Amino acid sequence: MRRIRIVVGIAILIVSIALLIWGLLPARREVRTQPIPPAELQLPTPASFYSQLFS
Amino acid sequence: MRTDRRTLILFILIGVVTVFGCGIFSGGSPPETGAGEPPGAEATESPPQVLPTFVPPQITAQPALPERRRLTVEFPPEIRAGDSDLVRLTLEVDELGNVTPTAEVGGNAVTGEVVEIPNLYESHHVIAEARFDIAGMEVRPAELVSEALSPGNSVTFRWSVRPPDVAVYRGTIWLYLRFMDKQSGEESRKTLSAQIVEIEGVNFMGFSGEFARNTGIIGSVIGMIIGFPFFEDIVKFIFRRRMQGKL
Repeated sequence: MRRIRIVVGIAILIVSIALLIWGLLPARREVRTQPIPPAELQLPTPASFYSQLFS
Repeated sequence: MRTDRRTLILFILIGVVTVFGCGIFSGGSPPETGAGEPPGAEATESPPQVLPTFVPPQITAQPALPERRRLTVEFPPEIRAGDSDLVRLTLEVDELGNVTPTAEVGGNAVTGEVVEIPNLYESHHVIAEARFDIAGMEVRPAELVSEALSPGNSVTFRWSVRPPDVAVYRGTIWLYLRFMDKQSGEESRKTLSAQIVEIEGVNFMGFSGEFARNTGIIGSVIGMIIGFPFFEDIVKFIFRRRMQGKL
């Protein structure tokens, strides 16, 4: 009887701790970095497109 | 008879002169491309002088932002279903980037002229706008978010996202630049970036994040209550097993 209670108690504890860890674990984050050249930071006019062709 | 022959020769001469004359003044016969001639041979012909000569375009620098920027997107690829998390988009100044544009004039000859780019900040209000479009997922704010862009300063956009169910959600983070002329008030908009983002809503053995946390807390308490009265017995049992192993 004692052994069964110990086994059950430990099993509940293990499962509960596993659930807690999974529930509280911070999410993995993905970071993407992309450089933006000054040519992209221009006014959207046909003239800018023309100068980009010759740059 | 002799007069007729002379007249005939004269007509032939006039005819020949007329035919050659027409050929000369019409700009020459059309270029004949022989069977063995390469297709690009036509382009090597010198253009007639009557045509206007090609004037190389004068490069006029368009007003631009005098800085190199860097776009950073930070997002969680996996979120527990029912939980919320943050997606961040930053348009920061790249301090390592040196902006030294040079003009290339006359085909392949690089002259290395430094172009003075007019500062766009002086003539325009520059506003960064961003929107996060993702189907099926709760996104706050869902509408377009704006923030003024000033020289040397970064702008950051944050969205709170929450996957309602276990699924893979695909969306796009749009970033626009809106230029507003300080004098005329004229507005123009440019799409700067469209970042495709994939976020997966996950669970643990069918449990959502909130359910797992609640169950974990309750289960830990129950497990401790059941197991704690027998803690001494466990220690004794382990100690006894070790002693038996040594003997």
